[in-house]
Amino acid sequence: MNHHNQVFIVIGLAVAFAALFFLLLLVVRKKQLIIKAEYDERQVAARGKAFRAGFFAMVLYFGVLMVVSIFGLELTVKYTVPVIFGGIIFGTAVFAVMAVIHDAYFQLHEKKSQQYTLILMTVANIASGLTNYFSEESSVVFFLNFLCAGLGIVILAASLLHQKKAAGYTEDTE
Amino acid sequence: MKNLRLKAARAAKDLSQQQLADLVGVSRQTINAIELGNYNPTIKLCLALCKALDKTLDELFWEDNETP
Repeated sequence: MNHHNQVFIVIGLAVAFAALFFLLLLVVRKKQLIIKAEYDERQVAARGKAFRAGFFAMVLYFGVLMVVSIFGLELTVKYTVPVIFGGIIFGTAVFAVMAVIHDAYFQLHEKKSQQYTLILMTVANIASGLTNYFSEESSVVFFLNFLCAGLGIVILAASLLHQKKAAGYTEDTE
Repeated sequence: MKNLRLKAARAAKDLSQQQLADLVGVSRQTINAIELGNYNPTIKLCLALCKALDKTLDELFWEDNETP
């Protein structure tokens, strides 16, 4: 492991510990041990359907992968993890899009600041992915970063469309 | 089937969908879905709506072609 990567590992660990520290402070101050998600009954039902769609999308992905591998695609160990992780990301993306379409992704009274966390994580994954891509010890880790960033972009795009739709709402529409 | 009685009761109270949703603790989209007949609420939500609109279950949710 070269010095360049070690610096980023140390920075990453420092950021993680700082985030954990502030989270603990928040828990102690607000005396809430569990961050409770607030969805109404219709949203819970719609999320259940979205979870099912996401699960079957993931199963379909792996089914296609299996068929393709039978007909000659050989995955080296190096690419196995990203390809498998890609299936999980695909299923998650399907869930997220289905949930947004049925107005069940965002909680009741969700604050916009909570969405900024998603933007931050997407940007961090892109930055990390680019760093790994140009790293001398380039591995497929950058692909995992880009997959996570891609998922964040899909959710953010769905979120923007949802907000645009909600902004144009009048009670005579729909 | 659309629930026009719910819509009428809400209008009589001069409440928007968002205001009614806030009163009963659901999203605006849920109230809209109930009014359009795209979602059947649980009895718990039905009772909360009746309480918010000062109506009975029959007045809001009984279908017109059936006798109670």
